[in-house]
Amino acid sequence: MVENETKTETVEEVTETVEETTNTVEETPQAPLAAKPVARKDMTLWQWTWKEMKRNYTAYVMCMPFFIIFTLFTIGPVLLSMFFSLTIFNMVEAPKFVFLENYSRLFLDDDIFLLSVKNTLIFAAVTGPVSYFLSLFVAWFINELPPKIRAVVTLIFYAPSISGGIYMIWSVIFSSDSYGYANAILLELDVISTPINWLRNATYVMPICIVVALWTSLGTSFLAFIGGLQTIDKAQFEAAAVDGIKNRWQELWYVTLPNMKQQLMFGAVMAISQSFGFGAIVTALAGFPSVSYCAHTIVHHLEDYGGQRFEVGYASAIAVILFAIMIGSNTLVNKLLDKVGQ
Amino acid sequence: MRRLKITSVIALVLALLFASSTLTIGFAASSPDNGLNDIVADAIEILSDIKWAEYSKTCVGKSFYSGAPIAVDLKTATSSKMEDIIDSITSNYVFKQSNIDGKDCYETPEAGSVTFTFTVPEDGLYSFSWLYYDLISKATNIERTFRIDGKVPFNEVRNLLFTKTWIEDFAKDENGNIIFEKDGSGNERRPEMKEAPSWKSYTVCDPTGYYNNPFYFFLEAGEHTMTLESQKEPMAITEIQVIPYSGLISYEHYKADIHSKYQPASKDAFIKIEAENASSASDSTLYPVNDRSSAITSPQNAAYAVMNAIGGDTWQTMGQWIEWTFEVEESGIYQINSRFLQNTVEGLYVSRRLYIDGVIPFEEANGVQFAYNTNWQANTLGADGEDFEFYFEKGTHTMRLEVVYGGISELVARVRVLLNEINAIYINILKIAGTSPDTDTSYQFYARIPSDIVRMGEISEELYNVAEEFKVLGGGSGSNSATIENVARVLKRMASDSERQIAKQFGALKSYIGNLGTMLNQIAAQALKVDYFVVRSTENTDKIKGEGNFFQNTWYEICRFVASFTTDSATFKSVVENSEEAINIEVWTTASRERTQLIRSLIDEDFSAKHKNISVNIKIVAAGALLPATLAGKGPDVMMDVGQSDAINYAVRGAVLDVSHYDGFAELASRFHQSALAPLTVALGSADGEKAVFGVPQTQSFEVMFFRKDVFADLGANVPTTWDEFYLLLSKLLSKNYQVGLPTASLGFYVSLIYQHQGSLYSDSGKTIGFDKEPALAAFTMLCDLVNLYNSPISYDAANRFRTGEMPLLIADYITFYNQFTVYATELKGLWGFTTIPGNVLEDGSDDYSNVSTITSMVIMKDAKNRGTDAAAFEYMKWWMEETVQGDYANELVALLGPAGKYNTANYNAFNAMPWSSSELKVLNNLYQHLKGYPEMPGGYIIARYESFAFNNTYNEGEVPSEAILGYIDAINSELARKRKELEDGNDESRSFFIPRDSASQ
Repeated sequence: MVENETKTETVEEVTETVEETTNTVEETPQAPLAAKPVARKDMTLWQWTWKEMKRNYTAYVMCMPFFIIFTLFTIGPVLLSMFFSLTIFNMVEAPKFVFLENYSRLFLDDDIFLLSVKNTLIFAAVTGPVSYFLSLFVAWFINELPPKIRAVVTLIFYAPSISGGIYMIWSVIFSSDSYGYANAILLELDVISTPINWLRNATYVMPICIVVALWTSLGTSFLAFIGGLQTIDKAQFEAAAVDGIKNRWQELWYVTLPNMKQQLMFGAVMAISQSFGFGAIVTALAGFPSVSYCAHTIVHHLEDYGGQRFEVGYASAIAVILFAIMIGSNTLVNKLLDKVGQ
Repeated sequence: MRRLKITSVIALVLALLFASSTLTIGFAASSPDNGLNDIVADAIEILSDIKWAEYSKTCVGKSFYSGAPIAVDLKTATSSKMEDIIDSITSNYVFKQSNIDGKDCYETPEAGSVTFTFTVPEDGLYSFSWLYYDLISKATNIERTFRIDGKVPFNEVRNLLFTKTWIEDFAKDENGNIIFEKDGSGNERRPEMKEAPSWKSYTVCDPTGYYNNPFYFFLEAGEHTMTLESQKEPMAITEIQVIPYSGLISYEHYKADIHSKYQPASKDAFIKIEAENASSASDSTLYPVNDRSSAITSPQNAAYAVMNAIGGDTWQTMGQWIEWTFEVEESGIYQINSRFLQNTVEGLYVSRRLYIDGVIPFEEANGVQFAYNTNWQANTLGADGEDFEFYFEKGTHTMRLEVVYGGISELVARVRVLLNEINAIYINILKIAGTSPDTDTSYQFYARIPSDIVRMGEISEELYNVAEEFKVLGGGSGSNSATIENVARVLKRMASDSERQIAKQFGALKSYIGNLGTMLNQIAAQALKVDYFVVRSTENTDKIKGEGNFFQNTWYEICRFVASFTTDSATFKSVVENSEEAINIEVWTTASRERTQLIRSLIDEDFSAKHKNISVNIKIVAAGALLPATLAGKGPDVMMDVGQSDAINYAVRGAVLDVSHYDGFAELASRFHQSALAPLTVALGSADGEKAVFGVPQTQSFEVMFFRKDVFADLGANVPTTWDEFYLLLSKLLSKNYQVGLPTASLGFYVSLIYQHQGSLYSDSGKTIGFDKEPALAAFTMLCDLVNLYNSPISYDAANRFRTGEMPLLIADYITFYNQFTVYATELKGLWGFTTIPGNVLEDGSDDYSNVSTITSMVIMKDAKNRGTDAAAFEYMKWWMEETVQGDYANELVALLGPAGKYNTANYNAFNAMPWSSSELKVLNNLYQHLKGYPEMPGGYIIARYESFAFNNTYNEGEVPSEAILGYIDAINSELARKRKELEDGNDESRSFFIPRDSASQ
């Protein structure tokens, strides 16, 4: 999960840098040029690019360290796993090329994969939007508080997600032991007569995991939203009021949100990668694999094949699918965010 | 004549018959039930003991004997017969008269008992003393039970403790300072400790440390016997004396006495004793340590580990002592200063008993105090604000500090007694109301446990008083007294309104009792680390610094930071310089630093000497590093600590070499029980194919049944040996609201049950799963019924429930739980034990006690073959599993980690050299005969997964067990087949693994 986060973060940063460079590229033609003007149309694309690169070499040098590391540790592995997904590879011997066999098995002959896709989508559909809007609205409300109280309240909401494995306390609450909190209370109230095996019972695992995921989800995006809300120019609200904004909802829709599109985008990417990638919470609470695969997500399926069965080729195929789903939903969210304020 | 002959023949036959029948009866009486009847009987006897506190009350008003010491004649010794102690096969010693170091003495082995007869002239109170000699054996203390006239007079003398003498096995320079050897990285090595037996004087006193003075016993005039019953370890004794009881003079007297006779030493008399240069110690764990917590610990080095202090966590148990020798240049009155760290017992002080030249100089020296501080401190030895002064004659002197409770001993003893009572009351309530009593039910407590209710009120009062005293001692620090007050408050409520409050407060009581027990253990741990002592004149009042100043500390931290870039702490290089052509092998382990260091030193001492042409580098790695490293061709030659399924998983992918064709494999294999080899052995191509063994077993563990002797004694029940008995007992336990702990989550336990039902895990030589066969279904039904019908909990804190007694019977991994519980519940010492898991009674009437073991192993990686180092790697593995090496390693581990450091070697013969008591060894030896390994096949990971799914389905949805498990057969089989196909495809026979046909376990 952590890896996924950093990955999307870096993707985000790169798109930004790319944007910046394109900006400079666009601007440069207007700047006064050397004595003999060279028109774009005189050159091939490559020639022109090379020329521009030479001219802006400082920018390239500056982004070089990041770019090398990014290529080495993010782009490289992604390409590598795309290659491995076409092979049978057991981590010890050289990979055997099998073309699309892994994918055909994945879609046609692997019930558990389909189950994991279903689980992942349920997780993503519930936790993604809910945590996103929860972050947004909590941030919005908190923003109304006086600064000192705001700092404390922010910490309270943010605490579950910075304190790492703190969600383990839920496994104490939902312990199958008769002395676990939930069981002890229910036994005390005579609701049940034998302790419920909360985290090894297909009925309860999924809801518990979703609740815990939401509890920890007020994370980075939440902070970004608070930051975004605070940077909005107060004058805009006054102007909007003059222009005839009637209520806070309109203010939110027409002023606040359009002003923090960057943060919204960032938050959305975080929410998506989190909701697709959260396997750690399920593993920590429900064990690996969860009972009867009831909370088996794509990430678990990947771990299962990569880590336990030493089938790296197959695991890579799963990773590629997951990658594709994430890219797809990112694009979708991007499109949706364009509608904000319209 | 003829008639006479016939009658005589008949008479002879009859006599023979009679004799043989009595013999068999005698034999039968002594052997059945693994002696468990005896164990329960023992517990009853122990439970009926009175305590010293009561015994000493009965002695009030009786006169102390004041005559000359009475010698006990060694010639009067009568020992138990050899046949009775034949089980203690491990000891090199027998009962016999002997002569050691010029003293006539009597040797006693680690089991059995010896009785001496003596006569006292008058009625009176007597003490006992003798000299003992610590015969070399295992790395644990000597223990004996003391009886007078065949009876244990009071509980405290049941486990008399005799310490051994250990010295550091390093060379010393001319000043007597140890020259510490360095390892390959430049760090100073922890010296090995070796036993240095000697004659030591002993007076019968409290081994638990609550009472400072020797015990006295009331004896009537006339002939008596005293018996020493061996519990642990052999020892020799001599000069047994019945002596008059004597106390010590007070410090006031001592001080007045020396000041009237002598002058203070001159101001510049100054002797510094580095604490790490101890001359001897009571335990092998009391070795010099490296302290990096302070900049001014002397000596100190930022880059390398230097041995600069002694003690710490290992010097905290009652009776452990360290002795230092020092030279005094000038006679006179001195004080002793020490620089020490006591940061464990918060708010209180830890205590040490001080011996100067082998004697306690005055009463107050029984409890020299070291106050609490998170930093290092420098103080003068003293107690209650008084700095002690001593007179030293010119010459060599010794100073010994021994762990005692000191001033808090009496308080702790009181709390401990109360805690035992509360525990008993807790169990009484538990038997009536169960683990979670219902607040609305009327349990009739007033009618059923009236005396307990009265006692609860009294205990509550006493606890409040004790809490007050703790407050005074701790100078207002309240955490200890708060713990006590919590219990007191709950008890008070329970006593005042029992009918309602007992049920209501029961849960709280349980957790507070647990806290109280933990608190007592914490207080009992009197850890102290010492840097150095300074013996100097009382005139010299210069301040000795406890901590460095700001600049010293900062500089030290900077140096450490810089040094951290240059030191590689994960690799343990060889110190022995090998010749150029030596084969270099690389060994990886996932063990802890301490363990790795031990392996390293064993290699340097032993392996390098035996194999001059092989040099070994050992490295700590994370387990996940192995496969990627192997893939890159940078893997090790030998990987240690590999789980049994991993070994086969690596092997089936060609990463691990078959060891069976190396020189000496047959001999190596003979060191293991076949259950240890089974998981690593496969047949190639078919069940009758060539056998390959992928690795060498390293450790072996299995489940045993732990039981609480006192609970069984109370119930009058025997520990069950078969499942039939188990079920009978279970209903008895359940009716008293006790629980039974079963490892329902472990596949191993289920496989044990399958084997006991004469089934197998796999069928078809490993191609398919055997769960659909009748025995496996019966076993699974049994497992599920134990939980679903008999309400055994599926998850529980084993140590905690076993301690409180609500779970008096528990099946758990023997080494993990044993190690954990030994240190967790020191107060229950002797009241629990373990035995084999119950067996299944078969149709022909015989019992099957099959028990599954799991192993960790060492494997040779394929890289070794490419490098040509595989034969050398095998030599290393062969050496490591040698009996002596494993024995040394196990003893060193106990030396390093204390009683919780027991090690589960797979070498069957090395087992007997491990520091187990003779009765434990007897159980373990018996257990070994029933061990079975379970084979690992490609795709085997899926079995445990679906087995637990099936089990959870029966628990959660109430599915019928056999249907639940049958529902997963197809899924398991298809995964097994798929995996087999994947690995066999395009490979030769070496990748198709089968269970050998002749293997005992399928």
